[in-house]
Amino acid sequence: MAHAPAQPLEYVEPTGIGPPKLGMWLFLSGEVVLFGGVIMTIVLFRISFPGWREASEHTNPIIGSVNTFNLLTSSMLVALAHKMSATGNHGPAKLCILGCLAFGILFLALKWAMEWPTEIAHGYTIHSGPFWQLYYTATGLHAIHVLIGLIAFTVILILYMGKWRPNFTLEATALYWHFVDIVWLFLWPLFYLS
Amino acid sequence: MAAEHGGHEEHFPNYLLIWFILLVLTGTSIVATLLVTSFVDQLSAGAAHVLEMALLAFLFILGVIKASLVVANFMHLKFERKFLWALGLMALFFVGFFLAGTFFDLTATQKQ
Repeated sequence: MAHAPAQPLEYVEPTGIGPPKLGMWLFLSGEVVLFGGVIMTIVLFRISFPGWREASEHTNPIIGSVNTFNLLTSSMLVALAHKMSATGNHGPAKLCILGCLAFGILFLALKWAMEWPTEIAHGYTIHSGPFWQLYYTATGLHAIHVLIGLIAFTVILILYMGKWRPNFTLEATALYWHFVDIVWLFLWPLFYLS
Repeated sequence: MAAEHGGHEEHFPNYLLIWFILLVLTGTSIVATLLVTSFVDQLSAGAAHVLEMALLAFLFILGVIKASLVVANFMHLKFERKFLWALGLMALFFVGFFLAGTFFDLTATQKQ
């Protein structure tokens, strides 16, 4: 019996969205539920816990605000990097990724080397009440996400220095980084301003 | 601006303008907080609480506006297919669903 020649498999994206981007959006939708729960818990405590304002006066709003600037700027730079890379301007794209890394590292340095040690030295630890428990848990979870993003961008930049072109990898990692930025836009007013 | 990338057309908004707007909104949050905290101690406890809650709501609304700008422009959602919008809205629905349950529980606890 004669067999028909095998047809090559053609991959069709049913959603019309590439796998790296779709995978990242699926991952981020899970992250929305995780951080959404954390942020809403903070809001509930802010409304119902009477000592919140007194406790939040012991955080450092200047470092918090500078870190907001750091993350917004790094987010803008990584968006520019994606644009530059997509339009074939690989030199500026690498510089933008480097700038994003610099602002991200500055964010973590201010948080882990200046802010937290000062607060702990003044006796405000994770055992110092509901405000500090939520503060260290939420900002710590967020900082770990920042660290993961920085590691990813470092790997991308190292590979990009050679012949490899990041294309969709950079786009997917940039989506993750913007999400990390968004989370901070809610944590910052809740812990430092209100 | 639009460019071909990986066989499909991509749109790129003015990132510097979006970044500048985000910084202005961030500055607005700081100014509003400084204004409220400068005279909240002169008010009665009840009035101070109302003002603090109003500030919290204002800051949260600014946060939502800033997040929307980032999602729409930096994350390109305004140029994406509706499928990704549905994905995001589904996640937000679950956050709201869990929050509603928590609110009911909180109300029941307070009644007790």
